[in-house]
Amino acid sequence: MNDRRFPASVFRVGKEPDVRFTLANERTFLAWIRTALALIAGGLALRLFGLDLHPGISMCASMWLVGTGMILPLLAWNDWARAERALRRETPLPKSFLGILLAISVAGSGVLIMLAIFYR
Amino acid sequence: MSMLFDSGLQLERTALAWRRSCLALGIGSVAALRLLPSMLGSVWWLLPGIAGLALSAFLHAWNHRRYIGFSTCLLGNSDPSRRPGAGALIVLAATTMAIGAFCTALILTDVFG
Repeated sequence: MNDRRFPASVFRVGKEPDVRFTLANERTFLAWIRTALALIAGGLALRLFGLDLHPGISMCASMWLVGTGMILPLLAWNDWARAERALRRETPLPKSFLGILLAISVAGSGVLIMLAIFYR
Repeated sequence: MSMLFDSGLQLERTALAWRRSCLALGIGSVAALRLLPSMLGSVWWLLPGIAGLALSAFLHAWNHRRYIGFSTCLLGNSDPSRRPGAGALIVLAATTMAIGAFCTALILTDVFG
């Protein structure tokens, strides 16, 4: 097969699925990217606006948010590739742990911000 | 007469998702253009914002080409292997990770005081 699309590790596997499933997979990836950008923006805003918070704890909360936003695109790309391969092989879609990661990240940063307010 | 080949409008929804993503990137870049030079005290800090805006425009244009490619495939007129690949996705992911790394550096160096 002369399929030169990137990445070959995905597009040379199995057979071509209904393009609408591919597009749905792509939209999921884009939603994760926008989530990552929002987390990064939130983490930066926490430092940028000089809020009256405990400096060390608010720094941790910022880093927690920005750090999650930084690794989310890599995990989203991995999820996209795994889902696309499953579509092409007509096998069940793989589990994703991004939702749990996001929930832990948001909850954790919320706890840190509460502590930063309490101990300011 | 036009053919209704996708009543779920998947293609248009995907194009709109790309536009939202490019818009998010563009808005962040405009904020960087506005804030970084004044907070960090040098005109060279315009460059990250300019780079972000340029990348946002580039991805928007690339997405338009991909939209045309997928549209052609949905009309059933081309070899499936000619569908667009995922290059735009990896570029967007890499850009987002780079923005995260840049913001991490800004926070760690405590440039905001």
